[in-house]
Amino acid sequence: MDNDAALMQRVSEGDTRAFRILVERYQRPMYNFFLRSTGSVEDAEDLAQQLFLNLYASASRYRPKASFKTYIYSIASNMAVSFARKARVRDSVSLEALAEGGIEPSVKRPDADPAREFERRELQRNYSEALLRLPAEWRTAIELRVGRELSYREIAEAMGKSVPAVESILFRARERLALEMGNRSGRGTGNDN
Amino acid sequence: MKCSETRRDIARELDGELEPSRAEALAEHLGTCEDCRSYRESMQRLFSLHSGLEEAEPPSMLLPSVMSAIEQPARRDRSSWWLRFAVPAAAVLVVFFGLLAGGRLAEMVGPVNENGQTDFFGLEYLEELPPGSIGELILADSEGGNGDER
Repeated sequence: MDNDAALMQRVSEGDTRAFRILVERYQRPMYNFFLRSTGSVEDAEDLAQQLFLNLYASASRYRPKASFKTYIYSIASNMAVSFARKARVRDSVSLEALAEGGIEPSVKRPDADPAREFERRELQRNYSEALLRLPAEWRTAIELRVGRELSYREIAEAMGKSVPAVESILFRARERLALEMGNRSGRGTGNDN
Repeated sequence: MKCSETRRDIARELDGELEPSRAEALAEHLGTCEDCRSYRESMQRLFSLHSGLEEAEPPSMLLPSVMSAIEQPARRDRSSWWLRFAVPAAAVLVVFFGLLAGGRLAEMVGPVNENGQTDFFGLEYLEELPPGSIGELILADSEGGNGDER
């Protein structure tokens, strides 16, 4: 049993201090997961809060079969996908939403050259936009793999799918992203000319 | 190895999930196929765009709001558990002490008649009442007669 699973076991016995440790540990990845899934700061905060309340409410039913990380991401994935279905995030996403939503692209290591830095930010902004236009399930799989660094097997467990199904989703999602990014840069070149 | 198969393997390789037995075949194919090499480069750029996105700080109120939401019902439960027992217990005590105090008061105030019972009306005090007074009329009535007969 991993350390988080042991904490969750204590939560199931009513230990709120153990729960606080888990929230402290997971609030950042969960918030960012929902931020990239919804493109909205408010929705990400609401979903993250609801996730922890769901986690606490279901603590008595928790059985440490899989790792805790997989367990919490399975709840998060279900919430993100069902939220997108309800809110139709794909259809409503806009540049304004992206700007307000806090996934205004920011890079880990800004470039010293302002022009290059601007170009890089634009690229990441386009990428974030393209990501939000993907079907919710594809976006979730991509974020779990690249953003959260889960393995294919862990993603399969979290999303309730087989490993080949996850591989296939990731492959299609990347092909679509590459196509969108290619089209955008193509359009950009055309406009410039 | 076909290019379509190679592209799946490129994705697995970039994800760190390619079996070592296939890695050699992939490297061999990439050495001879420019299209697949360029595909790999574009995929690598895509990966770095995603992993380059900065992580935002969670709102400072997230932790306190979650903790207060889970602690409040617990507090409410504890107080309602206490109230469930305290209210009926207090009611029983009030009735008990009320009866006790009432009994004591009767003993202190009311005189005891010949049968050993407390005379709550205290009618024996009325025996020495002046004739024609209301007290005398009440006394006469309680003895089954009236003032005129006497």
